[in-house]
Amino acid sequence: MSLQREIGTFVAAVLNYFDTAVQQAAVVGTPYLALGKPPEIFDYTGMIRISGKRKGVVYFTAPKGMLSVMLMRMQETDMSDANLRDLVGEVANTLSGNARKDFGRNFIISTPSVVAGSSTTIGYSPDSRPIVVPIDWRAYHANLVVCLN
Amino acid sequence: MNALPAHRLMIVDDSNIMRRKIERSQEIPNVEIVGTAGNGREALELHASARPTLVTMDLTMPEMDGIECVEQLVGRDPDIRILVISALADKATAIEALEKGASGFLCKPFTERQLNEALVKLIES
Amino acid sequence: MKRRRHDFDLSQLLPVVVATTFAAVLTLLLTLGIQRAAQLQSASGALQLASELRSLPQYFATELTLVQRGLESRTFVGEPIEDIATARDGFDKALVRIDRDLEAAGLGSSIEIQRIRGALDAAWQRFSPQLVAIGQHKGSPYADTLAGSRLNATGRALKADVDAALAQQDTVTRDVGGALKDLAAGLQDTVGDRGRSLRSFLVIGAAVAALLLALMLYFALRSRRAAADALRAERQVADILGTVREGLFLLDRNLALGAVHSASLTRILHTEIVSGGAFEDLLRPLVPAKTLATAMKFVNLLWKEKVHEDLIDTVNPLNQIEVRFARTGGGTESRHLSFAFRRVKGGGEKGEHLLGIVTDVTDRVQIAHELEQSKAENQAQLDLVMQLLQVPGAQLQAFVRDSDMALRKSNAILKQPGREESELRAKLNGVFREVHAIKGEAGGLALTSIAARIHQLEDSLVALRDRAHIDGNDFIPIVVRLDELMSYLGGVGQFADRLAEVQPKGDTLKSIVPPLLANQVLDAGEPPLDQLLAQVVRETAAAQSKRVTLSCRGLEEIPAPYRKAAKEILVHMARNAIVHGIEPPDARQAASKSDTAAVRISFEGGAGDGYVLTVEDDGQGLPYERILDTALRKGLVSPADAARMERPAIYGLIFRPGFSTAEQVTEHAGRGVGLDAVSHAVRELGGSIGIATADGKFTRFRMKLPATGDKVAATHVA
Repeated sequence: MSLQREIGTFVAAVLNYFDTAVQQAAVVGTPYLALGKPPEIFDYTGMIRISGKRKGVVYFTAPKGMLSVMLMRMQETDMSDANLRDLVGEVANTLSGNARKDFGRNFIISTPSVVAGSSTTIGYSPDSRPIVVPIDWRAYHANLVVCLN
Repeated sequence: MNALPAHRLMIVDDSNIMRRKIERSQEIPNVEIVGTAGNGREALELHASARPTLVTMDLTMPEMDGIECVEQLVGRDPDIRILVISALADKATAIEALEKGASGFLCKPFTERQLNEALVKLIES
Repeated sequence: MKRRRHDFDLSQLLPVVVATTFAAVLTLLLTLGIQRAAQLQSASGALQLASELRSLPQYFATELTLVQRGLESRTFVGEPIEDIATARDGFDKALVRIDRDLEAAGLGSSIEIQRIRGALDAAWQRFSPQLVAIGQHKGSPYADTLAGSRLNATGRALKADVDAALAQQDTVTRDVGGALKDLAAGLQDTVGDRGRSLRSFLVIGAAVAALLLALMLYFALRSRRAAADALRAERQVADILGTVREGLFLLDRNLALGAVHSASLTRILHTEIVSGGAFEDLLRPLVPAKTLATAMKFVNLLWKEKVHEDLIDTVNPLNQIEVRFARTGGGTESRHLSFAFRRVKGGGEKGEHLLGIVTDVTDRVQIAHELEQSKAENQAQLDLVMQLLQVPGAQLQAFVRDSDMALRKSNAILKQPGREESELRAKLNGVFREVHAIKGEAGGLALTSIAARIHQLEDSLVALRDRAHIDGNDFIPIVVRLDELMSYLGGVGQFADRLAEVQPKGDTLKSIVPPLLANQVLDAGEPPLDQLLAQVVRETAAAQSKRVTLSCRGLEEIPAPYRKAAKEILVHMARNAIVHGIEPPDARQAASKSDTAAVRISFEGGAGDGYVLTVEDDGQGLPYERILDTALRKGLVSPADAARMERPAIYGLIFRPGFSTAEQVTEHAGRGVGLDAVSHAVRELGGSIGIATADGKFTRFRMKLPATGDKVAATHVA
């Protein structure tokens, strides 16, 4: 399976999440490589680690405002830190689920984990270039980052 | 040692090198090479005198090609066992030869071992 | 198979055969028993009669004595005479019944019994007439007188008969009694025999019945066990068929599907399997008609006894086929399937079935493909190294730097915000220009391996540009290829660095260029521009089988801020001139031109008024009709606009993004991006382009560039 298809799977998973859970479509921007410095991390990040045929990390990172509005659209009134964490965790879950379904047994996918805070650094191998897929939703901007070698 | 029934092998191939290669490679004890032919017409002439029971048959040959030769040989001797040996460009042609009465197919290029195994199976068939 | 079925039939039949035999034997025994019982009954009857008759001689003697005494005492003798007649009659009747019973008891032919019976009869016949005579005297035996009664004639005759009978009485008692005794004894024996044989029959019958019962019980148990075994076997077969990963099925002689198949078959073939359905119908949606026909012929070969199944594996047309299935979420999915066929042999006979085995070998094929690819990559790597070794290290380093810059610039373009379709298309064109520029450079340095890689990225870009609608998602392949290319060029860069270290100084291009010029032109070890262009022209002309001489003038005077852009522009223009402008040698000869074409490049000016960069070729000129056709076909202009367009405007079309007149896209030209990139670069420098052309004679591009100063911004976005 090509990297291209794998990224496609992750992007489709995120878009599908917006379509179904949030019920308002998100738009994909042009993907690019994070060269030199690591890609931007927003307030909340849900991530899965992958090993096996490929190794690396895939994460969805979004600002607090975006997640809050997403929660609102999902009829949730409690905007607590715990709920915001849950939401990015939920997105990471769909990443993991789709990956498991599409990639089969050549991939070992970790359970999703969530980190909060934009000063976080996500560890990945220095010789790989993360691919950043911008996800725009309403006026907000989030990133899906795929870093696999 | 028991007197095993001898199988009489005729080699049909328009390539001199290929004929010699088959002659050299063949090492089954109870198979005796009774002659070689360079095309279908020669093969039919040789069949009349040498009475082979086994044949290795090339497909593309001048004068009379392998498929017609297979058909004629089987017409003369329904029990004859023919191994088609050819570079497999077209499976349909090989299948046609088998439909006409050949017993098996060996793909060029082949190793000595492959040839001998194929001949053993040809005798079994 | 056949033999086994035969076994099976016999074992089924055995209980029936045995039961029937036993029932027949039992019936026979019972019939004989009944017959014996009837005989026994008759013999017993005869025995009883014979026993009863034994008292009769004594009875006759008593009655006769009564008659004798009565006659003497002149009393009434009618009664005893009557009794004698009755008893005699009874004796006769009893004899008849004895005969009947003897016959019924099967003793009618017994010599011994008949002899005794004969003796009885003889004795009786001697006695019986005397008794008859006694009964025949009618009327009173007495004559009454005054002196008393006395016997009259009848009486006397009666008395004589009675006396005579009494005189014989001892003989009669002995003979008749003896005969009856013998008969009774004989019958006693017979009754004993018959009774014993009846008992024997009954015992045997009971034994047979018990045996039958036992056998039936055994068969019932056995068939129950066999049924249980069969059920278990059936369940195990079902388990196997349900679990096995391969698609298994059976075909009969008509190539119809058998009753059972593995569960995987449905999954692998993405279709429901119908028992008895034609294999051909199953295959039809999967393979082209020609393959289908060959496949059916092949499968039929397996029925031919002469054909050895191992020797025709290689001609199996279904050995590895690529099939497409509709995906559940829409679209199709490509899988690789492998069909194998085996004869199902039974009892040394020819198979009655073929076992078909389908395996999904997609993974295997993919691995093989990847292996092939990695092999090709290794070869490409080797080729690349060979190519790299041909290029001086410093030149290579410069190329890698430029390429890295271009790729970073491409990435920066992608990174810019902008999600609208028009913005996305602008990004696409921007990336295209960057990528195309480095491809030209790679081609110029004869780094064909690198050029081929960049060409692949261009392929992705072209594929995207030709789509009616694009969105961010569509850029995923682009960014992936960009990533690959960066890794690849990173490797080349490392190699170039090492190469630059190890190459002796004398081998670099610096030594070839006059020192004075070198100081002016060479920047960080870059080769002089005319040298690079000469190489580009040489490579391109060779690839196009054209003969070209290049003359350059004034290029060393290009001011530093323009050098980078000028290099890009001139590499494009030179290649463009050779690919599009210059005719093949035979066409030139036919037009009475020198078969060696000329490309002239010059740089002039510098006196406040700016500069002029000129690229001219003596080729076929710009074919404005073809340009217009192409622009129409590509939708760059509307038919209405086209009708109004003047020649200069038509020539201007060649600078539009997406325009290309080359028939075939090659690494050397024909993406329709070259002149687009040139125009872009010139505009970035604040310049303009003019075209002069004459059909069949020449094409000249004049690029006016402003004097260096504030207008030249840093054109390279990091």
